[in-house]
Amino acid sequence: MTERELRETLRHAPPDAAARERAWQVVRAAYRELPPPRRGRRRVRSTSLVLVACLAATLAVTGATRAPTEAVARWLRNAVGVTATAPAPTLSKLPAGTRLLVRAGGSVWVVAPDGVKRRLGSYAGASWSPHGLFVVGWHGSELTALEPDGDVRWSLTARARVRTARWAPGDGYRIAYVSGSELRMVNGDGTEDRRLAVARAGIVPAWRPAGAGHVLAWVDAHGRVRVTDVDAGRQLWRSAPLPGVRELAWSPDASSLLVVTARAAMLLRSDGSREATLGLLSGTSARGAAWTPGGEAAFVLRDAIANRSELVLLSPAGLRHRVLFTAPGRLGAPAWSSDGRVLLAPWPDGDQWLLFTPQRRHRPVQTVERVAAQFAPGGTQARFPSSVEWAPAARP
Amino acid sequence: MSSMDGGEASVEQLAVALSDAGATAGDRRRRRGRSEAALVRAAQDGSEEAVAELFDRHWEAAHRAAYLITHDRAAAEDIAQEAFLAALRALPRFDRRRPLRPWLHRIVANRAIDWARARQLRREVGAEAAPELAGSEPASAEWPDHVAAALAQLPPEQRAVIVLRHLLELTPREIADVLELPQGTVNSRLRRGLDALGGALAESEGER
Repeated sequence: MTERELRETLRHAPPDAAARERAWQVVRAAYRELPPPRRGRRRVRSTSLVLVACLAATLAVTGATRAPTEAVARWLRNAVGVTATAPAPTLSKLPAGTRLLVRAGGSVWVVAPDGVKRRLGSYAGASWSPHGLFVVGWHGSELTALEPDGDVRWSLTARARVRTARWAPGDGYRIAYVSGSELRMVNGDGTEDRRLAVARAGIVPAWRPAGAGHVLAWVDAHGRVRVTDVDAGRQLWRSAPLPGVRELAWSPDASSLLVVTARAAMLLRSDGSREATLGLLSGTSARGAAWTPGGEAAFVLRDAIANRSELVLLSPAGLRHRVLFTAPGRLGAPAWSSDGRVLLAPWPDGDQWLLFTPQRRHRPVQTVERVAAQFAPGGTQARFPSSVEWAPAARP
Repeated sequence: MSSMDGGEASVEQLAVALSDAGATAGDRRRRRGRSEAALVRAAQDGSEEAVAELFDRHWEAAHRAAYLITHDRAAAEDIAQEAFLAALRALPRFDRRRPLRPWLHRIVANRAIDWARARQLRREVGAEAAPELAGSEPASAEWPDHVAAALAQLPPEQRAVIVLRHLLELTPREIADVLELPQGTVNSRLRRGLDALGGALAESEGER
């Protein structure tokens, strides 16, 4: 290759026009979001003060007593840089036709299908009962069962801070919860609170969604995944210690358990044998373990270096994975509606919920914007919801 | 000194080629327009047109530099885009007496080096069933010349100094500032990097 050819090659390396256009759209949008420039505002204000003085003088001279019209008021507000308070955002109709349980800013809310919100109270977290009749909430060392309208059915005080709780599927007869480093269980009516084992704090136990009895997957203090029949007090299997286990999620048919760790997302069969492993590269992490209605494991893959997140689907059949969609910044844990019609993907960096349907998976069918402000009662500091959970199907 | 094609093109000539490639005719034409300080000032005062012009001036170089360091199209796009967003976030307090270009390139170069280093260190686990990283794409056949491929064979640190010096036209002193390295280290990396690049190109020429 000659020097000339080399130079020409480099010079005519085709620019990526699509990348450029995408980046420009993002940059322009970010620029428009910037607060107004100070210099410009000062100019407007100084000019507008003169205009306001002139208008006041005119009104005084003419003896006008009539209140200025809304148009004039709007003009005045614009002229002096006073902006009207932005209207409070409202949630529109939810496409799934079912309720959402939302935790935001230290409170838990139930959002009805028509978008109407009800604040249940101050809870660090909450989860639905299996048929959506009740909610179990926790705050400090208190575990509370309440109705979706906020009425408390029962409450107990644990010895240590309650970190998480999950209601057993099916009959809803058990609630597993983690208090301090103890995995505990209480009956659905609040009776027979008891200790099951020492567990890894902060990891949500996962009830097996199908099959006989009450079977719970949880992580012990050594990082082993254990699957226990809590009624019989019998361990069904346990894994080898897995470093950095973060989340567990059973497939809907209970044939696979998705285990997300600091270094991998792995599928274990119902007998504990390993089915598939997707290794994570350094700089990436996985969160939001879930299952699609179609039986694919799902999780959010966050690439901190590239500052983007991907919703990845891992199929046990064929051990293949694919990216459902990508978003800049972070994505929260995805939530599928119980009928499988709608996927809600929280996007904190965009302050939006992205709602997808199976028919149009790669593009949201609806976005809910300014989400944080919608859960900030009385103008309190808005915080983007840390978790969302669709209500399960009602009992037939 | 390494050579290509029977010794016609030295690594210094290669450096010239890289340098020329960084400045398109459009770039040179635009440089005769409004000063960068004036554009930054206008952008600070709310001119979207000024932002567009700044973007227009610097996008190609930033994106190309990121690509030549990372050898990954998606990463290059993200890195270059993030550099512009960082510049926007800093815009209200940006000192107009300082040139924007080296500041922007500092972000691009450092993020691209971080990305490339991390990629080198990444480890797959559970190799029996581990497919490729979700979302990663092979470099496009359209942007891919063997020069970029040869660059990709170098360590990220050497790639970065070559790109900064000969694509973005920074001086060794400026590169030292950008990468927070002694100037001597920059010079030695540049020397070793160009030698290695010449060797890689000669090898690829032999295979073609």
